[in-house]
Amino acid sequence: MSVPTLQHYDTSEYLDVGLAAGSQGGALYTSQDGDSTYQTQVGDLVRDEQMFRFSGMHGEFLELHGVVGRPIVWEGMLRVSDAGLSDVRGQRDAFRMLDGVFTFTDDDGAEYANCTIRAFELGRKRRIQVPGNTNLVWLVPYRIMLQQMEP
Amino acid sequence: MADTPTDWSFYHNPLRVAVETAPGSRTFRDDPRIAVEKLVLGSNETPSEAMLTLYAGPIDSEAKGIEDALTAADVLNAQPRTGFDQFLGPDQEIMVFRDLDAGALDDDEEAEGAATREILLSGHCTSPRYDERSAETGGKARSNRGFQFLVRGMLDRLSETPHGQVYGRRMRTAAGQDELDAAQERSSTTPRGDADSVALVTAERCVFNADGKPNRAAAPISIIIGGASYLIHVFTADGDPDAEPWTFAQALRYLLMWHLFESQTGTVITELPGPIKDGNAFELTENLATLIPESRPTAPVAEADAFAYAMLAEARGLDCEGISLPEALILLADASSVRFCIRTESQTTDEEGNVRETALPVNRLYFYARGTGTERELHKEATFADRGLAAADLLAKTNVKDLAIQADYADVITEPVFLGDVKRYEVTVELVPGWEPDANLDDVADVDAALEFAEAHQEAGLSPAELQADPWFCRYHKGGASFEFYSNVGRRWVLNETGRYRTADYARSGGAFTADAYEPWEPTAADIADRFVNDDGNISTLAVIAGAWARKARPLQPCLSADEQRRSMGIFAEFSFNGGTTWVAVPAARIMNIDEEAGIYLDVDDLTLCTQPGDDDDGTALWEAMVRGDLRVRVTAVIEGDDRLRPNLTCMFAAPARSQSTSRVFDLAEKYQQNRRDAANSIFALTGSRPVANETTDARDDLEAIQDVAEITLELLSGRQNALSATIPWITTDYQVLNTVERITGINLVLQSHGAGRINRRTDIVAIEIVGAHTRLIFEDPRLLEQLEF
Repeated sequence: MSVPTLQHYDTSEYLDVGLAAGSQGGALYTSQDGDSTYQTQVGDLVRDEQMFRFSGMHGEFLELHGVVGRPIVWEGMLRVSDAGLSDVRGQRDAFRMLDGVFTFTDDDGAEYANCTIRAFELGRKRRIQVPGNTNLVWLVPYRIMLQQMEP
Repeated sequence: MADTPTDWSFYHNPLRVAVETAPGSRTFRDDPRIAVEKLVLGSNETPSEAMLTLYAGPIDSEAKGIEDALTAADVLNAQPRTGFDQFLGPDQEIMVFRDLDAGALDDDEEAEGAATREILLSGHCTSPRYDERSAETGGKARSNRGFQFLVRGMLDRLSETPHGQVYGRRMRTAAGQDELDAAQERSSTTPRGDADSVALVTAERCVFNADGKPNRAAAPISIIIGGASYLIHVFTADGDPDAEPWTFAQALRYLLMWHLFESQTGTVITELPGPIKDGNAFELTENLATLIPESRPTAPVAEADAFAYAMLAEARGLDCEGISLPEALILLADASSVRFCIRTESQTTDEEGNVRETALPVNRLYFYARGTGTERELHKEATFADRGLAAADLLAKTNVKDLAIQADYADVITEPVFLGDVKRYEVTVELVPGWEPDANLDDVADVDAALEFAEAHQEAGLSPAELQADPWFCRYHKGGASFEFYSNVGRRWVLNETGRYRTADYARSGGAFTADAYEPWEPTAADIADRFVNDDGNISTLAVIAGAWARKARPLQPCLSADEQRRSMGIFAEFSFNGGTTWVAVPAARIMNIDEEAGIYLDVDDLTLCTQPGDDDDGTALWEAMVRGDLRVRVTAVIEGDDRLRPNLTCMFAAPARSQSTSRVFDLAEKYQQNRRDAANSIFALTGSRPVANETTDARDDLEAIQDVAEITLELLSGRQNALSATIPWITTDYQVLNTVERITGINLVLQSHGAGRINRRTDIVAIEIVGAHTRLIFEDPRLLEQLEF
């Protein structure tokens, strides 16, 4: 099992989360102990369709004109150090500023090309310190909204 | 191929867009950036156009290509695009099409060379638009930018082309006319000459049958294109005595030949260069080109004859000067009750007559008589009882999703008033002296003494002073000092149609001009009879009775009878020197018309020297004949009646949509006239004492024509107008513009339309609008302003 990744080929920018940082230097993962979590949801393909009904007639007809794409949600909880949080913020901005399409690779290895980032949200962070452990840790919820424009 | 869905869920190809790589290249490249927001396929009543939107952002797709975002300058300045050629100048053709699924093709369409896409519209965009908007909503900044292209169909392009501008007339050149004259009469209809025999004469306006008078050369020219010969009629000058009237069919062929095609030389006429090619116009009018209005089918008109009925009518005063061909065709279509549309096709015909698929847009012009296009049906039949049927069966019963009907009674006119021009008659009428009795001329007791008094000034050798001293010369000679006070005596002869020459003042005590002669003139004196349409719809003739006309002045107008060059005989005055037994013209007498009433004035210097024509100079002078009471004067000329030419609509079959009487006046004086020389007692009529074979081009009787147009118009006016549209919830090309629909099944709605020729027709689809994935059919909605361009 791997971790989800998001890659922009033109700039070799690379983003992942999970137990091991990517070789390209993806920054979302920073926890040495692998305490960050993630979950992904690859949405249904959204079709360009219309339904119509005739007055007085039972039933509904569906007409399909094409496929618009699908939404992908990648979210979880980051457990990062001070430096890690700073890296994540920088990476978020860098990815948000990129103009172009990404390829999303799910943790089961499925690839989804032609994705755009519609949102990269970091939630309210909490600071925790385990008694007896001098490391400070930040807990930050995150959510990356992707839209695959065409399959 | 039927577009109707057959299952609850189905796939349908959306509309797509391809753009010419460069102006005129005829190589089209699909542009994935462009989407069709709205497509309108129109007819002569609605222009065809498409509203396109263009995505301006970057694209990076294996299927669609890779391209950076487009700037406003890229697009609006038509900069070249890497991989996408130039984009998008005003002269690049744009086509809207949809792909055809292999499964949707009929068996024969699957053959090699079959179309893979269905082209719906091609045109140009002359007004690309860039929009950029910024807004902040809920703390989020949003910017939108994009392009809109309004693509207008090829009819619009045709209206811009140099050859599509209509001005001047194609007339025979001097050489062309000489060639015709050497071979045949100008009135002969035998074709003579070709395209080289005519030239554009810009001094003459392109008005077919200007003022309702013929101006078509009788003989057409032949134009041979691609081995086939086409008869094309050309203009002649207004007032040409040999001119024939244009029919709409002939006018249409003329306009198309000279203004539809870029060039009059080529291979096959349907494929001559130009943005629009002929579809069926030449084919439909081929057999009508040589027919005259009298060949028009009679009402009620069968559907098969509807086009001939419309196109064989006279194109009266069809003014096409200074407008473009599309505008001229719209005028012609409105006036003749036909419709036309431009169909974008992808097939062409080669020189051998084989039909080839080109995959390129070919725009063709098609004409139809109203309500006679291919019949289609709309359905709203499915009911609760049909639940459970297969989708295909249900959709066969109902395909109308939205239906909008607005009935409009506002323009219903039950009793329209159609007015032609004032009726005119050629009459021969005797005139009476228009001066009060003069002691030296009228009621003379001693004739010899009066003549001696009058002729004293004729003594040879009198000096001017001696002449002025002569009392007759002084008063009655044009050079006399007191002539001004006696200028009417012996010279002014009037009809007295006003009754102002009262008996008490003007009647002579004896001779021909006693009290009876000064009774006001009545039309019965000239045996004037009117042709009219009786209440049974037949033509009748009825004499105008005494007292029927008002006592108003009716100045004389030149005769309708004419010499062999069809020049009017003018106001023809004759004199009788024997009390009306025989009549002769007096060439020495200069006849002047009186402008203010019916009458003439003898403009001669000396009435004692103006004699009747004879073998010698010793004939009786006018003055002497008057003194003796023998002189009578009559004129043959045209006078106006009290009525205007009008149809009779009391015989109509139409059932008005309103019970209340409503009316409106339609003045058609310029186009419908009744100028007859056989309606009275003219000596020049064919039944008169001096029959003349020829008549001027003003001689005409448009009674049947105005009755005809009035009946057609009343059919339109008496019915309510229905603005109707029906929406089919998928993209379909099963219905085409100028197809017809007679009913929507299931709701008992009959969509019959007004049909010229006393037959109701089906209702035309005048436009089809595709928005999103819905097809909206827009039906004809004849409004008065559009319809009444006679």
